[in-house]
Amino acid sequence: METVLKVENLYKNIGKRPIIKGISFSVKEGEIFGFLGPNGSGKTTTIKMMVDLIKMDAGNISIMGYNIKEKRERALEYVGAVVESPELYSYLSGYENLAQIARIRGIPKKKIEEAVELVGLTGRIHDKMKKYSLGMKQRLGLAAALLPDPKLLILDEPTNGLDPNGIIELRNILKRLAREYGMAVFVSSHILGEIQQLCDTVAFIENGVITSIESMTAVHETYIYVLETAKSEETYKRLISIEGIGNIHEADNGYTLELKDRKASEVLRDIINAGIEAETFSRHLKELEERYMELIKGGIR
Amino acid sequence: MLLGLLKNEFIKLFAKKKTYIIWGLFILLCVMLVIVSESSERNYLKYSSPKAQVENLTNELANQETYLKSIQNDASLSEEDKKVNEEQAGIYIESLKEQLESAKASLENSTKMDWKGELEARIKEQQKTVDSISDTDARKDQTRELERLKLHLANNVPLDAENYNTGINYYVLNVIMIAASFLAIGLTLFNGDNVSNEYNPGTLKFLLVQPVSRIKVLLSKYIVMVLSSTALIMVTQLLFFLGVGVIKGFGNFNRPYLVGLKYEYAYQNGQKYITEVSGSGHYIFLWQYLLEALALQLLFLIVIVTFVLLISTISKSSVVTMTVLICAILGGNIVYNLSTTYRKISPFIFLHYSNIEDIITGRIVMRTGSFLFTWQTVAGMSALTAFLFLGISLWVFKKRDIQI
Repeated sequence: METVLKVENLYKNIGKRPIIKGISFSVKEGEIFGFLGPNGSGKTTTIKMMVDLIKMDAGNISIMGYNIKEKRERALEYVGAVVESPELYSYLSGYENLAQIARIRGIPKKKIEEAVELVGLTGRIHDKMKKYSLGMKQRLGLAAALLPDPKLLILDEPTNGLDPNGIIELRNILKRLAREYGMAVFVSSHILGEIQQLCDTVAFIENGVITSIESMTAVHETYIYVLETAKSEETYKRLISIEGIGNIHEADNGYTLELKDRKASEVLRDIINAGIEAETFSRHLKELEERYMELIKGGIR
Repeated sequence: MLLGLLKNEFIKLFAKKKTYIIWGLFILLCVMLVIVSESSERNYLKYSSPKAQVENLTNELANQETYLKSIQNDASLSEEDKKVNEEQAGIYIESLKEQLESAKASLENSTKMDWKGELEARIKEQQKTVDSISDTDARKDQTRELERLKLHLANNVPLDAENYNTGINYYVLNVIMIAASFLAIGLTLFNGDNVSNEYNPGTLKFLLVQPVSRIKVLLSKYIVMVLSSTALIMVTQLLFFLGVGVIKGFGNFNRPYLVGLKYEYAYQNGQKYITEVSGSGHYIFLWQYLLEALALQLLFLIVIVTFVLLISTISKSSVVTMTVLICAILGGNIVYNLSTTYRKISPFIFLHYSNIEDIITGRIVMRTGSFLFTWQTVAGMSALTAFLFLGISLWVFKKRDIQI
């Protein structure tokens, strides 16, 4: 698959303070790439450099093979982006806001209607944008980014202000665009669940450094389960001896177990057979959070 | 692509309420100038026209005769006082009668539409005056006045043509007054937030992630600022000129107008001061004067709009932009009025190019004490300043990180 976005050795100082310290990654056609990190870690600064809102001090960014420094306009032809909040002109209608972009890019009006329909704003598109809720603004921002049929869609915290239905719809839209149209989607977020359910690949960033880039498939292969039971040294020893249990960590009411290469049902049977009183045994829903804590916060606490 | 950007900017401009409010205020100002011009004409007709003079003199004569009778019947006055007062009143009444006869004759001439005959007579008188003067400087001044009278006659323009609220007289008044009083502040209010309001909220981000160069984005804003400001001011003025012209007549376009006065240093009691060179200047037609005024107004408009663009691009905040611009305009005027030194360098400061009338006539030299204050300096410096401001604005906008 073709590489749509390539970021190499990117550096940026603001004043004398280094904000981005040599990050590199690439995003391929049809890939949904999550950019995960705490507030102030450098996510938005990286995005702003990707779309040339701010200049990089060193490094290279190329979109569809075009260097953003040398061929800015050519590179941006392939990009649809919403950077931070989707701020459009509040005194114009939603439709006119999209028409403004269409005029700059030479996009026919028919495409506006398609984008509006895709994001579910058909009934309200001729209202002034100042009457929109935050969720509607997010949808309009997405429509604006999708208008040019971009090869690379960049979304910064896209679920801000969306209700649960909106979040699910957005997720489905993005997955469909990636799978059916081969669009590369770059999503930055500090919300783990959002990244976990949406992305194929996730890059963890902290203090301007990418600590790890992992395939979500690999993350999902490492199952973490919570075993609720009385904690004792004896129980711990018995758990260690059971096949398929990797790392064991103490939790509030028992242990978290990292399972590898065995089915959970088989491991549970061995736990019971080992004489451990299992109150509950459940799959941990926050496996990415565990990984996040390991990478960003220096380990599970 | 640039056309798309221009269209976008026009749509944004006309979607803002502020555009209509400022336009409305400008129209109101133009209406007020119509009222001022109309009342000036009425005052002229009431107090200065031959008919008004006859009426005024008749009334005054009647008053004086009543006063004379009251003196004669006043028992409180001594015989001696009565005699003195009667004598004085009698002299004044005789004078009024003479003036009344003259005014009646003038009225008769004017009603016969024989202002030309009167003007010819005045030209003859003026020629005699010129011939009789031996002093060279005074002769030059009187010759210039003779030239004016002859131009009026040759171009079929009554001497009092300037006193009427005609289309062209109104147009000239409007251009001169608007440039001097409204233009700088009005353009600031109209354009001040054009770039800075894209920073907060950050709509600029949406604009700059499109595949279009930053130079084109800012240029499109600048072009629309200049075009819309020109339309706001100059098209409105033109429409008012047509309106007044249709209702009141367009007036005499060939009225002679004295411009290009020259000044020189003179010394008196050891002090150096500036004085007008006798007989200097030349006459141009009013329509030529109007065109020059419109050209200077357009130059002033462009340089002010470019200055507004510069501050709006640099500051990122609409409030800061407005504050800086208004302080610069008002502060510049205060310093101009207070400091002789500042006035001498004012030919090079675009903020002081609003006194269009004095720039064209040349009287600005007398006001500022600077012989360099000519329309040529104004035109050159306006172009240079606008070019410099636009260059800096484009450079800042292209290089700046968009941290919003």
